Order: sequence, then C-alpha cells, then structure tokens
Amino acid sequence: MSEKQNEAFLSVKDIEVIYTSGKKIVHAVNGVSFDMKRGETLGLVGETGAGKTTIARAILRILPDPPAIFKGGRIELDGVNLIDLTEEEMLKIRGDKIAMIFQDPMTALNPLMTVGDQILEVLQLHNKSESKEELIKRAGDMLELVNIPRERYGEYPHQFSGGMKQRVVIAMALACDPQLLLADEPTTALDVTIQAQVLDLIRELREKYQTSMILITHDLGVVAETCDKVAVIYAGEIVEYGDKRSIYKHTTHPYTIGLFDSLPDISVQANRLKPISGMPPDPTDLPEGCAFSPRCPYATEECRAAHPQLREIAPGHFVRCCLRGKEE
Amino acid sequence: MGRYVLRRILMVIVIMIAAAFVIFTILYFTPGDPAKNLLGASATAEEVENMRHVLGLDQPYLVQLGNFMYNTFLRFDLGNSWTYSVPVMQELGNRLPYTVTIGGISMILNVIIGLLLGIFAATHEGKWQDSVAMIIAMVFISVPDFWLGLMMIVLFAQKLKWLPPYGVQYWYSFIMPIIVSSIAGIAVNARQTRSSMLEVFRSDYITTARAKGQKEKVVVRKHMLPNALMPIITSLGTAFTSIVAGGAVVESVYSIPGVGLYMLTGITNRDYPVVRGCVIFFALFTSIAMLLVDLAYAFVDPRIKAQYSASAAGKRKGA
Repeated sequence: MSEKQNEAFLSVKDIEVIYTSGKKIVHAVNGVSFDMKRGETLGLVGETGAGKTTIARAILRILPDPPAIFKGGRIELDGVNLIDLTEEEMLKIRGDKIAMIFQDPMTALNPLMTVGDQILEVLQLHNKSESKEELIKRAGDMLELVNIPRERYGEYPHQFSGGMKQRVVIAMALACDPQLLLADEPTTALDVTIQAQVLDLIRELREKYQTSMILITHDLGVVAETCDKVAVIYAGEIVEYGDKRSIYKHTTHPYTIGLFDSLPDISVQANRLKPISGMPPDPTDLPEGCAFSPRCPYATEECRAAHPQLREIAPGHFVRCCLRGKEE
Repeated sequence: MGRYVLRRILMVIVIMIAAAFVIFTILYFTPGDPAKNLLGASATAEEVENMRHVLGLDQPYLVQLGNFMYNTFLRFDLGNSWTYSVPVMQELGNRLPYTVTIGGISMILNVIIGLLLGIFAATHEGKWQDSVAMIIAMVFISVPDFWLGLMMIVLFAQKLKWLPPYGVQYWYSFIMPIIVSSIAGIAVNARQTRSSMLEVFRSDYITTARAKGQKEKVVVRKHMLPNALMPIITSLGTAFTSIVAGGAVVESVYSIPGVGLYMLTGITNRDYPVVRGCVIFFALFTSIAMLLVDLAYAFVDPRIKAQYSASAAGKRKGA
C-alpha cells in the first residue's frame, strides 16, 4: 500500500500543445512535465494565457479539436498512457476516473436541463448496471453533499445563484468518485465569501474521498491554503516547481518572485502594488532564449541567447533559470 | 402560462380585425369598377348601376365596412364570390386541404432535411463537407421557384414522362409542387441551423458534457441541438407562413386548386369577397403559426417559460 502511494499516480511528460490560427501557430504548452502522488494536490499558477487550462484539457483530451493540436508527450494515469487510448476507452475515463470543475459556473451548466438531470447524466454514463431510480437517488445525494436541498433536483440553472451553480458543478464532478480532479479556477468567477465556502467544500470532499487534484489558479492565496505542490507556469512552460514550502519560503525564479511581490501586503504601508513590468510574450513568437528574459530585471546576454533547462536546486525544487539558484 | 396563452389568443383576434380592416380599405380605394368588370365592356350604364346596387357598392364606405365586419366576425360569413356565386367560406374549405397538404409536407421536409444538413455542416465546420453543404444551400436559395417548377415540368413530365405536369389527380402529382415549395426553406433552415449550432459549439456546457465522458453524437443531440433550437424555431415559423402564403406561385405553375390560386384569380377578377377571404385566412394562419412558435419557445427553454409565467403574474398584481 505504502509503495503504491509513493509511485507517481499521474505522470505528465513533455506535453506540447499548439493552436493553429490561420497561418500562425500559437505555442500554448511547451514541454510540461510533472508527477503527482495519490491524494496530492498540485497548484498550477500563472497569468492568463500561460497555458494552464490547456494542460488540464490535454489531460482529459478535450482540447477543442480544429484549432488545438496535441504535438507530443505522455500522460500516464496509474501507468496507462492516456494518449494511446482510443476515443471509446477515453470516454470511460472522462467523468469517472478524471473529472473537471470549470472556471465559470454561469456557463458551465446546460441552461435547458434540470440540475439534477445534469448530475444524473454523468452517473448514468459510468454506472450502466444500476437502475435509473437508484441513480436519481444518488444524484439527489450528491446535491445534498454540496449543501443543496434534494428538493431542488428539478430546478433549472437560471434558478440558482453563482455559488450554488458552482456547487452543482462540483457535485457533478465528484459524482463518480474520480481519482483525479481538475479544478480550473473554480473560484475565480465567485465573490470572496463564496470563494471560501467553495474551497472549503472542495477540500472537505477531497479529503473524504482521497482524490488527487490539480488546482489551476492565479491566486497565490488559494494555492497556499489548498496545495501540496506548486508549479508556476509561464508561456507554456514550468518555470518553478516544488512543494509548497520551497516555493513560498525559497522563492527562486524571478517570475515567481515577481508574482509574490505583486501581492498587496497589508502589514506594510504601501500605496502602490509592484507589478511585473511588461506583458507575457506573444505565444506565436516566443523569444529565443529564456521566455521571461524580456521582463526579467536580472536578465543577461546569456539569458537571451540560450533557453534554460529545468534544474533541481534543492531536493524536489526545480527552477528554469540560467542565473538563480546556481550558488546553492 | 395559461394566462399567457389566453392573452396571445386575444391578440390574435385583434390582429384579425386589423387585417380585415386594412384589406377592406385597400380594396375600397383600389381604382377600377368590379361591376363593370363582371358585366364586360358591352354593358350599359344602367346595367352597371344595377350591378353596383346588387353588390352593395353604391353604399357609403362606413356602411360597407360595417356590413363586412359584422358578417365576417359575428356571422363568420365571408360572402359569396361575385364571379362564381359560391360562398367564399365553402370554397376555402374545399381548397384548404391542397394548400395545407403541400405546405405541411414541405414543412416536414424542411425540418428534417434542413436540420440534418445544418448539423452536418456545423459538425464538419471548415472541412469540405461543410463547403459542399453550404454551396447546395446557396443554390437552393438562389433558384427562383417558378423557374424551378417549369424546368422540372420540362424534365420530369415532358422528357422523362415520370410525373404528371399539373393537376391533383394522383398522389404523385404532388411530388413536384412539394419539392419546389420546400427547397428554398430547406436551404434557409440549413444555414440557420449551421450558424446557431456553431454558436453553441464552443459553449462551456458543451465542454462540460464532453468532460462527463458523453459520446460526441449524444452531445450534439442532447446538449447542442436544444440550445441551438431557438433561432431555428423562429425561422421555421416564418418559413411555414411563407410556404403557405407563397403557395400561389407553385399552385399556379402546377394548376393546383389551392387557396393561393384562389386569391390570384380573385385579384384578376376584382372579386373582392374572394380576395378579402383569402387575406383573412392567411392572416389567421400566420397568427396561429406565430403563436405556436412562441409556445414552442417556452416548451424548449425553461427560462422563457418562467418569463411568461412571471409576466402573467406581474399583470395580475398590476390589475
């Protein structure tokens, strides 16, 4: 048992995804790799457009087909490479072993179906042997699990508030006891008090069912509260990766430092936030050297010339930078 | 919901009265004397005057209008045709089955073929199948129906002798008229379906459905199509009325004794009761089609259903 807990449950290796738009090619994800153990939570942190959602959709193989192309890499779940599976086999995994919570609860539910039926749909897909009555009862149980009265089974999404809709989405995602939960900015569209409720709910349910989770967010506070490991994504690459402690205490990559610096600190009298200057690079035309070099205050000629590799600067703490962490 | 329907039915009545008023007034002020028309060029002035008296044309506008409205809406009598002396109501009843059969079957073809073609094009967006489907739709829209009707007669009736060139004698007499009257509607519907399918194609809830492990076919049928249906229903309502009201062309090309042809002969003969009767019939038909469209909205979308009920409740509170 302990051995099984130690081996990687989800192993993502060198995945690369591009989007084609006209003649331009958008390099959305460029060789991302990470491992997760069972029950662990990994935070994917980064700016809008860094490729976080694309990574999650690639794992579930639901990238929008015409523009997105999966160029290469392996995604192993329990030793099975999901990329090699047929579409038929993948259907059995989606919603059952891997489930996803979406960013915007306002649009993630089908407006023409009752919330109960939407939960029922995923249950029916993955529990073919059970009777419909039994599954309807279970869908009701799921509603109660996320603190929505069972009586509201037959109501439509427009009759629910944003926070309640997100709870329905969570109920839908957890309905089949997934082993891996992909939470794509589950709280971004909600206001702060509801955010806390939803995060608590996710954490509670996750602990109850020992579900592994990838939490996509740009909120470092949420990461600190929820995650075991953190991967900082910049321009489709992991620039810093490690357990929460090393990222928060031994922040190394200039981009991560910039992210922390840009948080408001109420303990210090400050009038202005410290943003990272500049804009993320154009993903159709990434810089030759380090992708962060145009915005990096420490950048040298070396940074602009050569693309840095991910280096282990302390056990389990990886950084993609030419300069930082060398002295250690 | 029931209150909403009731309100809409009351509105239909108002629309009918307005339509009757407008068509009566337009015909009244149309130049040309129906009495002279009926009697022919050789009639004496006295005969014409007599005829005008018989038809009631010598009475003032308001009296004529009042009689017409009274007969139409309280006695449900549209009068007799001046040329054939047959009650217009009876004649409409005889002709209705032809118009409705052609219109109804064209509509069924429109829904089935148009939806399938549109869904097919949308799910193959940007590929050659999409282009082919849309080129077919473009051709269908562009072809004038009278021309297509005549060309089909030349091909299938004259050259190949597969189908009768006109009339309603056999069931297969209806094949050509139905094709001609459905083809433009199919194309419009296919294009409408394609564009509204593409609109919901990238919706988040479609991704949600895929993430559940739902098969793509079921995602299209269960999640995309119902959400794409609203604009499609709107255009279907218009299509149905234009098929029926526009049936005059097809009916005259194929000599089908339908309502459209009846109205055309009424117009050429200055047979006012016939024209008025047909216009009122088309107005009623359109109103009912639009009412059905609105009810279909509520049936498809729970948000609209809630709105209907809410607006009825609001009215109640206000009153």
